Order: sequence, then C-alpha cells, then structure tokens
Amino acid sequence: MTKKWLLLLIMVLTLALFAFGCAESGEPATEGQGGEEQAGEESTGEETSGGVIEIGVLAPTTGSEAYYGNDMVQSYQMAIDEINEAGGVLGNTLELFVEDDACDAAQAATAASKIISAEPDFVVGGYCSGATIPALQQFYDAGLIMLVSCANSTNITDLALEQTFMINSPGTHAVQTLSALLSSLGVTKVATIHQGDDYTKNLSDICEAQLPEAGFEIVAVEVMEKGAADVSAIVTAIRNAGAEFVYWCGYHADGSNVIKQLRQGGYEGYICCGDGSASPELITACGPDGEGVYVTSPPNVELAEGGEEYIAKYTDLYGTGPGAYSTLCYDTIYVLKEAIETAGSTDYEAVRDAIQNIEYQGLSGLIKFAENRELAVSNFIVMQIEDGAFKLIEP
Amino acid sequence: MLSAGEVILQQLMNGLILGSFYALIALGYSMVYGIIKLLNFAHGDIYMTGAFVGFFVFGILAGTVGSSWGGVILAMLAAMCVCGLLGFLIQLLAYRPLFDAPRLSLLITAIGVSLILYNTVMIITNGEYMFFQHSIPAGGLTFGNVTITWVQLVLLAITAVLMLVLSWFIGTTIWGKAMRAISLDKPTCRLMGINVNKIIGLTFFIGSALAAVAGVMSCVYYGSLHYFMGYMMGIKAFTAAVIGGIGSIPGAMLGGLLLGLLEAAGTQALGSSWKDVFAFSLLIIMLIFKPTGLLGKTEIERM
Amino acid sequence: MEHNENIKLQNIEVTANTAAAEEAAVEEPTVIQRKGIAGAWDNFVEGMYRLVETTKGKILVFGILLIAVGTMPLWASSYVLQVAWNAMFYMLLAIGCNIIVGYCGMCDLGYAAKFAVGAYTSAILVKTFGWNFWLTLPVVIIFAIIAACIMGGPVVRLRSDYLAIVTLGFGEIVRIVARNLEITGSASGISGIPRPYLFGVQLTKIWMWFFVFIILVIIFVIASNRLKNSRFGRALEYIREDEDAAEAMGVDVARYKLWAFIMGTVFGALAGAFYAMQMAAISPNSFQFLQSANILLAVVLGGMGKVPGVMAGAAFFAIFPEVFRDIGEYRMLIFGIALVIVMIFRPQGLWPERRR
Repeated sequence: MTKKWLLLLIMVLTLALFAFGCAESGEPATEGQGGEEQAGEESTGEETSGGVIEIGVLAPTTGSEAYYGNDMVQSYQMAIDEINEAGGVLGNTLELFVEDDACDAAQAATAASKIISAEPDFVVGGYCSGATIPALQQFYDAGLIMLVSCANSTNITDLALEQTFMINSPGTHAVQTLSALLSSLGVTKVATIHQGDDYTKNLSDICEAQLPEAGFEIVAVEVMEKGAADVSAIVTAIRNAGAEFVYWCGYHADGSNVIKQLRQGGYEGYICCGDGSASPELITACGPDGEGVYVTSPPNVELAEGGEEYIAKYTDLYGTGPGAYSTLCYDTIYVLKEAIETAGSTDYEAVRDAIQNIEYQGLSGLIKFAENRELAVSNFIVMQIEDGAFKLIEP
Repeated sequence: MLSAGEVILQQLMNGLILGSFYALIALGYSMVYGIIKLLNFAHGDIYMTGAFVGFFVFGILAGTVGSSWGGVILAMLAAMCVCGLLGFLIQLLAYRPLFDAPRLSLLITAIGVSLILYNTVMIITNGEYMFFQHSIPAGGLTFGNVTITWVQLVLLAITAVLMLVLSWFIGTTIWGKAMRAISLDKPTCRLMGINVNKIIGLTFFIGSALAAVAGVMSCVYYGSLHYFMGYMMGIKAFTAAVIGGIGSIPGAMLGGLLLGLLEAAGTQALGSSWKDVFAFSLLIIMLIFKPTGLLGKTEIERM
Repeated sequence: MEHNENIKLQNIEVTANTAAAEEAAVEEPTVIQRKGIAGAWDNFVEGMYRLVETTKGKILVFGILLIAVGTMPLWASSYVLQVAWNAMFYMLLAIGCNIIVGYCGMCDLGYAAKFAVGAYTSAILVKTFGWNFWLTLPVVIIFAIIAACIMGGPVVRLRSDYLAIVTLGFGEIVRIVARNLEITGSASGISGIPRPYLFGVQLTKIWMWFFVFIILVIIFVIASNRLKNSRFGRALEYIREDEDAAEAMGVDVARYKLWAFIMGTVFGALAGAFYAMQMAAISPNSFQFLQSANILLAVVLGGMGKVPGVMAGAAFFAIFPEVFRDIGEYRMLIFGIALVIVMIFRPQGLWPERRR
C-alpha cells in the first residue's frame, strides 16, 4: 500500500511542479523570447557609446577539427582587436565569447545553450555543418542573428531561418565552378570521393545532381571513412569504372593520402579537390604526387589583394600562417560591424535588414546576400598546384 | 579501363595489404583476450601511439641514418620498445588491480585508458595531422596495368616474418607454452609455479609491440598520421580477431587477412559506401553458423 | 554452488517477498571495510541505502530531489537546463541499456543503434509524413520490437564477447545504412523537425523539455523497477548469475534474453524519439560507436543492475565534461583518468546493487 501512496505522491508532486513551472517560468521565458528585440532596443539606448557588444562564437576548438576551430577564433580575435583599436563600433567595444562544439551535434547543442545563456548580441562561427545545424535552430529560437563563417552545406539554406546568413559560398557554387573546369578540360567521366559526413557528402550529392544536367557522367561515387587510411580498393574501383576526372570532396588531411594512393594505384587522369582541401599543407603532404592537382577553393588569401599584409600580421600575432577559412572569419566580423553601423544600433530587425542588403568587399571577395541568405555571387576560384605552389586558373 | 583479371589481382593485393595491418593489430587483441578475457579497447590507440613514436624517432634519425629503409627499421624498433613498455605499464597500473573484478569493469577501464591515450596524443599534436616524409624509392613490379610497389612487398614480408616468429614463440618456447597454459586455466598455472603476472605482462608487451609495427608501417605506407587513426583500425582489428576466433593466434592472422580481402571485394562489388555493411553482415552471418569464429575453440565461459 | 542455485530457482518460482533470501543466496565476495576516500564513499552509499530503506527516508530523499530538480527552471540558466536535460537523456538510455547489460548480463556495444531506430522512425514520420509526434510513439515501439528481433535473433544464442561484437556490428550497420539511404536524409540526417505540441503549447523552450524529460525519467524508473521485481526480472538475474545453471533448471535462456533485448530496445527507441524532437535535427554522426561505448560506460560506472546507480553514472558522464568545459581539450583526458581511478577503487560501480 505504502508503495502505491508513494507513487501517487510523486505523480501529484511532479504534475504540480509542472503546472507551477508552466505558470511561473512562462513569464521569464516569454520575456526571453521577445527579449531579443527588447534587449536589443534597451541595449541600443545604453550602448550608443562606451558599451560592450558581445559576440558569441561557436567553433570546434577541440576534437578532430580543432586546428580550424582555433584558426577561426584567432581570425575573429584579430578583426575585433583591429576594430577596437580603431574606436570600436558606434563607440562600443566588441568582445568574443567562445564556446566549443567539438564538431559534435550534442556538444554543439550544449555549447549553443551556453552561448545563449551568456546573452550575447550576435553569434558567429560554425565549422562542421553537422554540428552547426542543431545549434542554428537554438539561435533562431533565441532570436540571435547568426553569421555562419565556414559551414556551407545547402542543408543550412534549406532550414530557411530568417536570421542565419552564410558567409561561405555553398556547395552549389563549388560545383558550378567545377563544371566550368570540366568543360575546359574536355572530360566527361567523373568520379567523386567523399568522407561520409554532412559537408563532404553534401558536396558529392550536389555533383550527382548538377553534373549530369551539364552533360557529364558520374561513373563512381565512393566514400573514404574519416581517418580510415586505406583507399587502394577505391582506387582500383575508380580505375575500373573508367573515370577521367576524380573530385575529392573531403578535407586536406586525408586528401594528400587519397592523391598519393590514386597515383600509386596507377590512376593517371585529372584530380581535383574541393574547398575542404584548399590548404597549403596539401601541397607539402602530397609532395611530387600533388603536381597538377586542381582545387576548387574559397578565396585564397595568398592570391587576394592585400593578402600578404594579412598573412604577415596573422603570422606575427599567432606564430603560424592563417588557415583556409581565416579570411572568411575575419570578414564576418567586418560585415557585422558594417551592418551595425548601417543600422545605427544593435536592434535585431535593423541589423538583420542591414546584413541582408550589405555589399562588402572583403579579403574573401564580395559579400552580398541573395534572398535565401546565401552569398549572391560565388566566391569560388580554381587553383592548380604547380612547382609546389597554388596558381590561379581561369577555367 | 582494367580487365577483369587485372581488377581481381589488384584488389587481392589491396586486400592483402590492408589485411596485414588488421592481422598485426588483431594479434594483440587476441593474445590479450586469450589470457585475461579482456577486450582491450585501448589496443587501437596503442597502434596510434606506435605510429607517433615511430614518426618522432624517424624525424630525429632522418638526419643521421637517412630517411630510407634504415631509418624506418630503426624507428620501428624504437616504437616496438616504447609501445611494448607502454602496454606493459597500462596492464600493470590499470588492469592488474581489476583482474578479479567483474569483466565489464575491466572493459570500461580499457575504454578509460583509450581515452587517456587518445587525448594525450591529441593535446601533444594539437589535433593536427602529421605527414611522414620518407625517401624510399617509388616503383615496383608491374604486370600489365597492375603495379605492386616495393613498399607493399616489404610490408607483406615484414608481416609474414613477424607472424612466423610469433607462431614459433607461442608454439615452442617456454614462455609461449606458459601463455597457452594460462589461457586454459589460470589458477592451476599458479599452483604449478608459473609466474602468471609476469607472463600476462609479457603478453601485453608482445601484443603492443606488434601494434607498434603496424603503426609505423602505416606511416610509411599512407604517409599521414593523426590522433584518431586508431579508432576505426581498432574496431576493424577487433572484428578480425572475432572472425578468426578470438583467443586464437592463427585465427587472428587469418581473420585479419580475410577481413582485408572482404573489404576490397565489398568495395569492388557494392561500392565503398556499403563495404562496411557487407563486412559486418558477413561477420554476423558467420557467427550465427559458427559462433566461435573460424579457428576458435568451443569453451564454456562465465561472465 | 549447486545448493545456491537450487535456492535461487525456488525463488523464481515462489512469491515476490523472497528477494532478500535470494540476494542472501547469491554468493558474493564479502565487503571489506576500506580506508580513505574509498572507505568514506562505501559508508556514504551504505548510509544512503539504509536511508531509502525506510518509507520516511524515501519520501525525504525523493522529496528533496524532486523539489530541487523541479524548481530548477526558476533559478538555473538555459545552459544549466540544457546540461540537465542532457543528463536526463543519458539516464533514459542508461536505464534502457541497463535492462540488457545490468539485468541480463549481456555486453551490448551497439546501444546507439537502438536509439537511432526510435529517433529516425519518429523524425521521418513527423518531418516527411507530417504525423503528430505523439502518434508516432506506438509506431516507434513497433519498429523497436522488429529491430530488436532482427538484431536480437542472432545475438541471444551467443556468449558474451561474440555478443559484444555482433551488437557492435549492428551498431555500425544501422549507422551506415542511415547514412546511405535517401529516406533517412543520408549523411546530413534530418533537420528542421517541427517541435511537437503538448496541451496546446509547442515545446520550443528548453525548460519545457526539461519537464517532459523529468516525467520520462520517472516513467522509465518505475517501469524498469517493476520489470526487475517481476518474475521476468528474476529470471534475467538468474541468467546473469549463471547461464548454464539457469538453462539446466529449465529457464528458456534464449527467449528471456530476446525479451530483455526487446525491452532494452523499446526503452532506447522511445528515448531516441524524444531526443530527435528536442534536438530538431539528427544525423548519423550522433549514433557512432563512441555513443554506444558512452552509454555502456554510464551503466557500468554507475553500478550495473541498480537503477539509481546507472542514473548516477549517466549524470556523472553528462555533467563531468561540462564542469571542466573551461579547460578545453584537457577535460576528456581528465575524464579518462577519473574513469580508470573510479574503476580501480570501485570496480562494482559508484552505486552498485547491494549484495549481502
């Protein structure tokens, strides 16, 4: 009997607490919900000058992508220091609040809620698409404007969140560029290799969808598990399929291994890498096998105007050169700065509209958004490895 | 385009190479399992550690010994010693206190050790990939469109020699006999005056040294190394050990080679996105019909 | 030994209040009074047992716990709530996994596959076919049973370590199949899942999910405890303690193991369905082997077979890395070290089943 009573007691207590929670915390919650606008308006009153504009950063500072995550944070920090030294934005100084998503969906959700709890004014970051997507939903729910610096899966566009902008060109742009390259080389039979995660598989899927329309044939789609070293069986399968052109959709770290094994396995056709492999490390790691390899790349800082200055400053500050996405992150902060200045405040609506209509010429090219909040103009370029360095190619 | 015969020959070669990696690592799993019934989850990370030790030693030696086979062999020996000791120490500090505890606790400890190794290397390398640059001449034997490089041949030779030595060691030496005896009946061995703890330590030493060989070989063959390279390799090698019959030494070798060949066949026939499904499905089907693995013995065991 | 098993069999056949006799019959190494922190923890756990044995103590402990947890949304930030939610989610998984691992003694290295089944079933029905989330739950249960029969069929006849590899194999198969199929959204998974409604309110805020999960945890705990104290639960315990003897005494080992497997899968699948709704996005990367290892780890760390124990293990697992979030990459290293140390000093887990 006592057991039953106890059960009943627990149930009643829980329900009571539930009702209590609904009634009581309903208010602060709705406050939080409208808070974006309210807080925004309130803060504009106070923050016209001398205040702090806090920017949350979601980046994988630990885990397999830690190298890129830390590079992102350093690039943001560099931009922010520059802006603060020059007097800040509308008299306010910028400040970063970094949280680690470890490139993992569950950790990203926790990191996002930690960022939201810290009540920043804006959020930037996002490297791994798979980890970024659950966090985006949370930022949307919390009414925080999010600028996605690196992740460029079209799944982010498909979410259609009105405050989420992608600074990096999506995969569809990469494949347009690839298509131009294929035409200029005069090949038709293409094989893709991806790594089974959101970003690389997405790129490969876009190839499968777009290239046949442009008159090319996809003869093989293969997957190399991240960190699984052996691709020799894949190489043989690709050769057997008669591919003339291999598009590596994965990251540079495994890319060098793939290129080497393709060459060792007797593949003699063209090789091209996606933007995940656009890193100088690809050249050093590939050695002689890398000669002649193409890369569809986000704007390369070495080839950009004012790029040398940027590299020198970055290297001076952090001791290593900037990574492939560094300028995108750097520009992200400047886009935000310009939008806040155009809006004249940190008000949610005003800044969102300002970003939507922005035209900013950054180190990574022209940043201007289409209706779906992707970049309106592709920023992709084609490079080729020649004598141990990247050379710009006009396809 | 390759002819059907060439494809088969090339895929056989690919499978054998991959299989020899699996086999070397599976041996460590199998030996340890045979003797203390532990699925040593840290074993894949020992393979990874071996690769890094080899990488750093090679970097130091490259100036004096040169960056060709000489340097590689020395790096391999160094990695074998370091990883052997590491395996021994892990066994001493983390596993020995738990030999009489529930077996799942031991398994969790192994996962903990794996986390420690994995994260230590991650912190040391800053999460970045390392690239192993050697000057071993390229080229090899060519049959029509099929090329077998010298590196591949040397790797196969090293694997074959190590397996023969290990078979001899387990089969004829007094320590090998003690190992086999312990895996049959630990308490009785103790009564017979066998220093059980010493033999267990030796098993860990040998298993870890073999994993280190595989690690350095993968540096040479694949050219890149990273802190999570042991994860997938560990799972696959574990699978290989079970296919062969866990606890059986020839079984581990056979299982490793077989898994490598299966994966190559799966990639060719079904595409690489289904190759793991293919391999794991065959594993499960095989276990239904032959639950002890190919060369495993039926035994009565208790959790 | 033979004598003990006879007593145990009778226990299974006779009434429920023989639990004490049954436990007494289980031969266990006697607990030695230890010194230092380990000893203090032993004493603490023992004291807690004594406390919750009395009805007053039960009400006191659970009451305080419930009030503390129930009022959390009033004083805690959404980050703390998110972590608490995460902890509760792991608790659900651990309670489910505990049926397979703790009650029945099977080593399951593929539990992530089981919650993937629930998460995907629910997410596909809600996102692609526009179902109401609550209506998908019966379908989730049906799919879980089917999946458990497919996965469990070959498993139940195997002994522990082969069982471990088969569950691991199924875990990988489920993940890769989910990644390759169109309907599961391939590698990107399914995102933008609309949040369900409860009492006319859409569950978008973390504090709402917090309460939903509290109720889920309570339901899971009650269900799991009832299962344990049933005839079925005692049969499982018998199988865990000595499979051969159980079989010899006429317990249909394969059938009971399969049922344990089905139960564990249903629990996991339900937890997965709610997980998919809270996250609003799932992808194959959430169901990696590491996830399975983590769940098993929570169960063994907490103390196999004991529901509060596995809950404590799950909470430890979810909260520990968050407490050490600021030290960045060192936290998982420290977690590994802590894990090894806890296992060495408390191999039976933090809060194991009490054995006299």
